[in-house]
Amino acid sequence: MRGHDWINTCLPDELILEILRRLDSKSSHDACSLVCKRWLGLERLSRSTLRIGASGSPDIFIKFLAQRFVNVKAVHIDERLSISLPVTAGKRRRRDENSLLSLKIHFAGERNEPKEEECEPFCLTDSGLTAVADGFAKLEKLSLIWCSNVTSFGVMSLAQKCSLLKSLDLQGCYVGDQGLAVVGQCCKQLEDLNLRFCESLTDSGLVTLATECGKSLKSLGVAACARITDKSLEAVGSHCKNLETLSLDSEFISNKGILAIAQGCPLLKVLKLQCINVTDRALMAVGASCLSLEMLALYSFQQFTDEGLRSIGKGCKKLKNLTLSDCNFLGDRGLEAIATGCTELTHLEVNGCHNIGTIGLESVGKSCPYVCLLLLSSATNFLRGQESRLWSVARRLTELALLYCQRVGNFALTEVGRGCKYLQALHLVDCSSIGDEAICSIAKGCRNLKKLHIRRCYE
Amino acid sequence: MSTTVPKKITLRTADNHEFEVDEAVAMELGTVKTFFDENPDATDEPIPLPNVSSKCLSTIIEYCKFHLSLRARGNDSSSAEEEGKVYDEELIKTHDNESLVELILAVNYLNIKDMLDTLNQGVADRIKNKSVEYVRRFFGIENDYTPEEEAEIRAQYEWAFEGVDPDDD
Repeated sequence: MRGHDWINTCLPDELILEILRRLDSKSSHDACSLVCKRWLGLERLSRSTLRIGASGSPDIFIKFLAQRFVNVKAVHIDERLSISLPVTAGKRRRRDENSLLSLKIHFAGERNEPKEEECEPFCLTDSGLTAVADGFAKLEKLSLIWCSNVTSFGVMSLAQKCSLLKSLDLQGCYVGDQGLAVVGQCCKQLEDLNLRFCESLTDSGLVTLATECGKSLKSLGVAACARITDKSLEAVGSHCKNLETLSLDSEFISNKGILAIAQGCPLLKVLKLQCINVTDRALMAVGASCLSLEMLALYSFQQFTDEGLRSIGKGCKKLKNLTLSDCNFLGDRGLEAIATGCTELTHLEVNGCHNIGTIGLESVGKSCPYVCLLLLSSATNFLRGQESRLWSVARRLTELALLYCQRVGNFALTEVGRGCKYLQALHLVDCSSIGDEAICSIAKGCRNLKKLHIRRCYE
Repeated sequence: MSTTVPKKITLRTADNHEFEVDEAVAMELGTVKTFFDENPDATDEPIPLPNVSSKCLSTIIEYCKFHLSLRARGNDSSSAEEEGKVYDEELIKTHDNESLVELILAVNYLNIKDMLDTLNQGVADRIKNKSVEYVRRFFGIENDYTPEEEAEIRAQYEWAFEGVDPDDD
């Protein structure tokens, strides 16, 4: 004992709350609520975020949580997270009341025991979502990840009650147009919307949403929605003037849609595209109109050529982060154009683009002094030449990952050891030409290295 | 030299000590600033601070002076930030729980937001990732749960809050 209880005698509720709000882990929060009754009450007021996995019977569970944590602003429900469940809460609690001592042993035992009965994992339903809406009126952020039993009905009751909602993630939910339309009508502050894998959505829902609350929308994600087409993107382009982030993964979107976005959303900062039917024309429009673009990620494009990248290099001077993944028609010239145009580049990831090689990389080394993260994967043409100058130029490189780069040899890595003094993390996977000599040089040169990850490098 | 002599302000603590400080330092104390904002023609009388001890006030004045000088340096922000952090850590380290709590009360009364944030974080860091028993012992808090109540709450937390995590936002 350290004597007198200073905290509780002196500090008013609001100061204790301030302190409790600064705790950053669940276990700390739990421990504090057990300290004394006053802290329990305050701690319940201080929670602003709840994360819920597939909890067995989430509907009841949410009602229970809503009574306790009235100030919650963010709720994450993820049906993919499964947890080991006690058989029934009631049974468990009865046992626990016996004594504190047996309780500890009981918990210790329970954790390692296999589940006594396999209970059917129940999913969050519309009634559970209604409980969320009723319980957390101040909700600003809600994620419902793969909650496949939630329908438009639940989303409608949510939208009607939680009009302060700013961020809504419906990834993998079977929510239909009706639900989305009501979100648009009720949640006028919505900034962030993720509709990835919402397979039952069509244009009609997204068009209504864009028309209703397009002004506030800053971020939108769409993937694998077969009935969301250019029509939706045109609506987004004409109503969502403030859009900053767009992530699209769809076979049903063509140049027309991307052109509408490029022309309608001049503030776009982040663009991630995996749309096989989109061509250079769309990329050129982006280069011409989206001058604030900071991050561009292109996945699996067979139709983009260096022409498209050239217009990005010409227009998007603020580009900091570039990912090129499986775009086989992109070559060294394209990367060169990016390097000379976007000198503020800090992150570069090139993944399996077989026509991008040492020349492109060298020009990045020459022109982009701020590159600090570089990831090269399955790049057969990389670093064939022994004189790769990238390493000596990119002095600020803090993280380097080489995956499946069979041709990268000891020489290049020795250069890394000499040139990249600030390197903090190095990942080497399946780089069979790298041997001890190279690693020794890394050890000597990169004094700040904190993370070294080597797999399947047999030399 | 055309520099004017900086105006001085006198503060009087609960235990009747008087501190004479530069106006700029005094204006760091939100409560004092509000007083002057509302009474622009206040006289040079010492300002009474009935809730602040002289021990606390001298720590507070030192803190304000230090952070003022850091801000005055301005442009080389990264090293100033680092120095500020070191100073704050040292401040927390040199105070035990009792004096930290006393300091929080004084700083809260004087309404110095940055310093209050630092101190609150300092206390939170002392509680972080500790067991219930540790926290009770550390602060001398009496357990006012009956064993049954405590077991009940523990049970709730064990089954219900699995997978529930607060964010640090």
